[in-house]
Amino acid sequence: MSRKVRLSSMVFTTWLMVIIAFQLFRRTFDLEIFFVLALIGLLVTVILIDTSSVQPRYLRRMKYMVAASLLIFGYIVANRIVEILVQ
Amino acid sequence: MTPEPNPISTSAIGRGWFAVLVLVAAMLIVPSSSAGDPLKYIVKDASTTGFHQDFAVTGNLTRTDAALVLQNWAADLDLAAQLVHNIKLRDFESGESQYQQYLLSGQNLEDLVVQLDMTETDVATFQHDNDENIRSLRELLNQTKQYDELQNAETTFRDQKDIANLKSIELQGEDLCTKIQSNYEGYADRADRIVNLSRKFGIDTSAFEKSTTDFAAILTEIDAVQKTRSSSIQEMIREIQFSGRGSGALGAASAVSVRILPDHGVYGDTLSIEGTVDAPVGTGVTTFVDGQQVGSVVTDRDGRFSFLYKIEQIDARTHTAYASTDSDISEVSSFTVASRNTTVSLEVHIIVENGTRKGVGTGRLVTEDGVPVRGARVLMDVDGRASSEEGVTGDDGEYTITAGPLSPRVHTLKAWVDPAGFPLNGSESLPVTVEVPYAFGLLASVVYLLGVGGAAIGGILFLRKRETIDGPPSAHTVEAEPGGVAGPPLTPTIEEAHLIANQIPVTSGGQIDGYTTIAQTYRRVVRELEARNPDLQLKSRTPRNLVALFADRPFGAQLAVLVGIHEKVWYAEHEPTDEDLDQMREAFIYIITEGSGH
Repeated sequence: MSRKVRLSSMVFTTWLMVIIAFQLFRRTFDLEIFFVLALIGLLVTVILIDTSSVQPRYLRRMKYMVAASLLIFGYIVANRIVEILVQ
Repeated sequence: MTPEPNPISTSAIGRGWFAVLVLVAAMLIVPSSSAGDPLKYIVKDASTTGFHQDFAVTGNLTRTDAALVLQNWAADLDLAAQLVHNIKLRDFESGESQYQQYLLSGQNLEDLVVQLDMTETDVATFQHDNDENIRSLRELLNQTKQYDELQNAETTFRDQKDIANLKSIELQGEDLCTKIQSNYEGYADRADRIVNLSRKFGIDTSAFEKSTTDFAAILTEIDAVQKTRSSSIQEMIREIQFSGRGSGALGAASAVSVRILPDHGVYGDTLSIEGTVDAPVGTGVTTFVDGQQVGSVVTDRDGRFSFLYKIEQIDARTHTAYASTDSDISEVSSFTVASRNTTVSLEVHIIVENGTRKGVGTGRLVTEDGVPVRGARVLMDVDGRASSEEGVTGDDGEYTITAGPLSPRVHTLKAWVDPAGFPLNGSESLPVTVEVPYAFGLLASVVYLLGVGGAAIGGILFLRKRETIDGPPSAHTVEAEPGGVAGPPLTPTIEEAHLIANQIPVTSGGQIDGYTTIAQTYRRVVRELEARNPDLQLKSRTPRNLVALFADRPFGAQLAVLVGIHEKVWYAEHEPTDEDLDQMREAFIYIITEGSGH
């Protein structure tokens, strides 16, 4: 594992811990907010470690995961919009 | 030849790190700013905690919410105390104004309980008791006003020597005393619970506790006045009767007699208030129940009269009745009304009114004997919250209540009966669940389609996206002829290869960044080979796979050397040397010229 990948995974793990810590500190753990913030972190990580020429298998898998998460993200956003429209 | 720095590569790296820094800073600053005072209360999580009962301890509410609830709570206690004090002082004007404030404050607390989902908490228990107190003090305000008005009426009737109405004043006074007594008992019962709960949350209850003693003082005062009034009116009636007859002993038998048949009943029963009058045929007789005039009849030729009284809006207890002529009144008779259970049905259908969905509840209120109840208040709760709308039953016991607007989701509605003033026990309907559909089903579908569809397209684009390689395009790329298709690039000459190799090195602080330069060289090689062999999908292959693919080509050995250095530096994290850079450069030129330069 390259230094860049190792550093990125550490930063991403830290980011997840920061999200969880703040939500627990607030005693208001909201899975939707956690998911969206984690997805943002994952996107940033993937973009930063993405290579220009060769693409390792793990990176390909991470991108599939991001693409699947985007679908859930789209559903969450649509849900919120509908809630606002209802009000 | 000194390699030229690659400004595009360095600025791209700088932008990337800057973006990361901004993101990280934003992600730390935004939650930190609200960590001390959470932004909102998440119902679905807090409601599952075992400590939900005590919001102040668990901190399930934001500080602002908790402060707001406690502020409303304390305000309600103070307003109740002030209201009782003003009633005691007979300052009805201030009392009315205070009642309006109290009502508003109570509604605010109810809104908070619903909004913050505290229906299963101590706050809701207090709010329920507080609502009862609001009703109780409204009644007390009305009852004390009515009692004071009796004082004025008594003076008038004394002057007019109107014994029928004087008796009415006496009985109405007694009736009011009974009601105030019952009202006080309810208030005192709730007071203990309210004080205990309020102390649990550190709220000062001294003023509220004083309100209970003030309430008791009002009752004691009215009771004392009533006793005096009662004896003085009875004495006056005897005097007037005596002087009216002109002879006989004081307290002689009245010319009017009355009896009630039967002397007991339940809601819907009809009692006969009948009697005789020692007077000419056609003498008018007025009948009273609890001092209130209920009807007028005339005597027949035998001096008899009869009035049918239907038990409807009257409390379940013992009541008094008497009859009077212009100059005389009967003795007071009593009858007892027993309470009955009720059942209320509910059906709900959704209507659209001015673009909003409302729930129309219809049903019927009957006693356990199947007698329809007329004129009773029926209220409807929507999801546990009392609707502001209420219905009154008609002659057939049927009612209609419109509640809403209802948001598009599943709602639970329940009707309940307020039995106040009736000889009935309250009842609730079975809960009815209704689903309010989305008013804009198509729009919601479009939003979902756009959200999920857009995300799907975004996901596909994300998977297809490849990062643009830094640096200018290959100098030797063959452009497509107009209307034609671009062919594979030509093999560059040795001069062109040197030019390309010169563009690769990345500098940092005036020095060549060996680590990045080696990575860029490898990437450039892959790109060049990919351009010549588009079907091999070289960008998706591992470096060793790449070497194996081109092992039988003339430049295979040089490719192995290049990949070896790249692996050593990039994966094994060896510090790149000048020799590595030179070897990389030579191998690169050899590979892209396919050995033609050597």
